[in-house]
Amino acid sequence: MKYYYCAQEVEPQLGKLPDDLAIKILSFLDASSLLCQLRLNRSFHRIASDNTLWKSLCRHLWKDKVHVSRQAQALVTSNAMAAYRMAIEDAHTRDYITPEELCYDPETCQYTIWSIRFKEAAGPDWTSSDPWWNHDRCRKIVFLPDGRVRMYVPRSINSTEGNDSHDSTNNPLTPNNENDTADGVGGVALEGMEPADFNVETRHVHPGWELNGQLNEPPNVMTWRFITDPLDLPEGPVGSYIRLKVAGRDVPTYCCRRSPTGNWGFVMESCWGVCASFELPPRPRSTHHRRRRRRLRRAHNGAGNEIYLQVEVDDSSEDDATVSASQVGRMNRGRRDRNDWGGVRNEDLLVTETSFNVTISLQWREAFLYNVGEDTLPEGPNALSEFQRVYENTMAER
Amino acid sequence: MDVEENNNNNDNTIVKLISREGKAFPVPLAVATMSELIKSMKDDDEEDDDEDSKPTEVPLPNVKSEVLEKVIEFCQHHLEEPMSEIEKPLKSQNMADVVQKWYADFVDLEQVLLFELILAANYMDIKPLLDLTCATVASMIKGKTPEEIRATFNITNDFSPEEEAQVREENKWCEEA
Repeated sequence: MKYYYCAQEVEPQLGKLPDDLAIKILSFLDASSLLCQLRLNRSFHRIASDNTLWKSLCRHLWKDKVHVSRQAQALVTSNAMAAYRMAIEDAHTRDYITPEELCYDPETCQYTIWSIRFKEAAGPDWTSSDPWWNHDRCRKIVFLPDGRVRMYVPRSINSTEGNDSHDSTNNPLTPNNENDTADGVGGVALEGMEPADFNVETRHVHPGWELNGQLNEPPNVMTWRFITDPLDLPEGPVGSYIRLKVAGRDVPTYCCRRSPTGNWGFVMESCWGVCASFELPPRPRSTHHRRRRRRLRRAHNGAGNEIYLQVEVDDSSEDDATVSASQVGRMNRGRRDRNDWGGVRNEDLLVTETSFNVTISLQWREAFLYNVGEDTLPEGPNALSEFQRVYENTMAER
Repeated sequence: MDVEENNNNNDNTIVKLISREGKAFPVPLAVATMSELIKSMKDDDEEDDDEDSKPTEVPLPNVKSEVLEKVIEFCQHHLEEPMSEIEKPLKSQNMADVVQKWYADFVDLEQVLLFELILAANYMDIKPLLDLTCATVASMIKGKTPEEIRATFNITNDFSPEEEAQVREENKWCEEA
């Protein structure tokens, strides 16, 4: 296997190295430099197409990505360059999710664990008991292949804390728990973990967590199903929309897209909630995020039903000042002070309300129907006329 | 017994590396055995070891004196300050950003000598030196256009116009990640 350089005075140069040495050199290059090599000449076209080179570039590119196209993964052994390309194209063009990517498999304890939280638009009744809003880790849920949804309580692999913490990690997640007194959602389990540990990777595992976290029945029965043609949003392929039923009632459709943070994860949002197939960045403690907010006001319609109205508030308005005061009071009760999420790219993404796509003004029909007490939200081609019927009836009753 | 032990582990043992020109470079055994090639030769020697007193001579007919000198310089320094692992893919075109300063300065060489070092490191099987020199060439490629790379390394484009168009088409997607 050794190559001796010919003593006969041919000056060694890049174009005349044996293949294995040329490959060794190219192994230090990133994908775009390697693509340039393909264009040098025939010999480099062959060398730079080497599968082991592209295989390790795939590994490097994919290692901190949440979802890598399974087709691309399957292609790695035969054509890693094509796999690399396919994975990127998939991540940039496919906004719908596959059942495999959505679901968690309780048999093997594998696949996706979702972070979920309310948006500000849901109103303080909901956000006040949401761990994220209390500066804790996001609530976790999993979608089971049979259509059920379960709360997920992570367990820590990190057992250095001793046996004491073990008991605490077994505490079921109770959705309305008092975060300022208890250790919060998985608080103990997550203690001592570095932010970097929450960069999810290809196999949808949150490093540092055992995958056999506890699956708990949510306080209200929750089920999920895919829909393709919701009321307020354009029709999309299967996997574009998730319809959740909570306590027997449809809640506004969750719309799926790739995460804007570039981690190839998925984000699903409705006008009132957002979930992500990775750990969502925590709520910042600084106040500059609090400007130009929309706020829901509770009101009563003529029929005696509660409805929510969307209003714009700014920090100078008196009403908002009182809200702020109570919010600040709540914020101050949180325990964690460290703001050490250096690893999260662009902290505003998925944190500020303005970084979301699905707003009340976009999904107002479903929100309206939910608020006037409809159990089932219409879908498909007749959705709009069904909405019209309910809307006119409601207005007539007022 | 004691003497043998000394021979195996002691820094005092001197090995003479003989370059292609026949020049002898006496080096401590620890320096010489950075080369897996020499290490395996020494291991073979010891089985049928003869006179212990005379320093072993290792002929390296494929390595010029000028190159061997650099190799030894590298090995000596590596024993004092081991080179840090070079991360792949390179994150900079500047070697000083990916490896300690001494090593970055060490490979600041004429291209011909750099490639001779690559061949010598490969022949003598010195992994960190091979990594360093190969990474250096890669750093000279990184971020350049195909035309610039051809000019830098004197590479002839033997694609036909049709092939060239095809290759260009193939790589349109590029740019990501």
